[in-house]
Amino acid sequence: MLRFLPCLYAFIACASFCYIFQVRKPRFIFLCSLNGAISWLVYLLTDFLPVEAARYFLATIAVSALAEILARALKAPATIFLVIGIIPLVPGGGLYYTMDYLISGDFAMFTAKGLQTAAAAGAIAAGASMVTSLVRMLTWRKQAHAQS
Amino acid sequence: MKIEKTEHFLNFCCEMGRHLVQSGAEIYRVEDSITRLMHAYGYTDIEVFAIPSCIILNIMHEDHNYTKSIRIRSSAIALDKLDKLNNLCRRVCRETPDIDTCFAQLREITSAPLYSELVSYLAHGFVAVFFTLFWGGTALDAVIAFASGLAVKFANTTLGRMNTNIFFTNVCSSMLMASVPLALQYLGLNIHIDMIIIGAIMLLVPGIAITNVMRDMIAGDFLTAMSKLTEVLIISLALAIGIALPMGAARMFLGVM
Repeated sequence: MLRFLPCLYAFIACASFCYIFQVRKPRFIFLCSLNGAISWLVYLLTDFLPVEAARYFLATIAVSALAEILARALKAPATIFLVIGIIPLVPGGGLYYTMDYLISGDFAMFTAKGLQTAAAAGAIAAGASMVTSLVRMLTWRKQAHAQS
Repeated sequence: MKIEKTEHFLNFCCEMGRHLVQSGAEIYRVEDSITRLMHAYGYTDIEVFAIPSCIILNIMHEDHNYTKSIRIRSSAIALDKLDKLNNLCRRVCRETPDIDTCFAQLREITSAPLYSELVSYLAHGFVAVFFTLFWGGTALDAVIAFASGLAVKFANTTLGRMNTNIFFTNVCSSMLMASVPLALQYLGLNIHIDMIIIGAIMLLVPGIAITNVMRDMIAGDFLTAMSKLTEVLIISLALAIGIALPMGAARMFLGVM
């Protein structure tokens, strides 16, 4: 159970972020934070995967899909849920340790950590854009049907 | 002199676009919303172009060209405003009220109150606290992270008021943020500097921009994607410099690890 404690922390941290990014509806604040907690839950549950970037990729896909579903259900822009939900996945730690190795002059570790961080960022970006393009493809077809 | 209807409408579209960009909408959404607005009011021969710093609109109506371009300077993510603008845009497209009503409703949204400074300070503090715990910090680390979070907010507000550039703001914010745990460790507290800094740095890391860059690129807005990518790189560089300076200095001169 202790293993999932970070999800709770992520939930509260995301809720605080809602106040920084001016989300005002209580229902939105709850759902955004829940999205953030779920993103980390997916990351934790996929620990059987050997590549870290793959875990980030799957977690981002889950968050983006949820954000799009919530957006459709609540008739609000998906960005709102995505922006907050993705925050726990942002590789802040990677950026820090990369820089830490740089000041200590450990260039082997600096390169390794730097590339790992870049891979994580790339995986997040790829996951988010995959879902977005898929959703746009589907909604475009729906609009085309409505017009014909 | 009575303002012409098409020009009045063009002004409304521009203001709508400006506020959408400023509250953090994707460029895809901005262009899409304005196009829908124009179609709803019966203008078919139109051009809409938007990038994060500029919007150019053109309506051709009865052999007249109506063009307006605006420069957008500052933007701050305000998701509640974005949601309301999106709703207004849908409603206007559906009901096509007269332009004065639209302007009145737009003004109502843009003048809605934001969270107070106190709430914002507390939120910055709590983000730092819970991300420190999230990355595995102890309770004492979390308490100090609260101070670091407040430092970030303080630096951002103060420098924002002085109208400094994004690079300098981020260097200063991260420097101040990293100095808090470094100073306390020098004074003899047993804390994990890395956990505290990682927790507080989440306030500054351009994570949203990273995801938006790819989303813009997929939508075909390459100019937008490039300008945001530059922003991401500049901010990351600023954060690295801002943390490296106090940490390097502390290690060299004070022997803090």
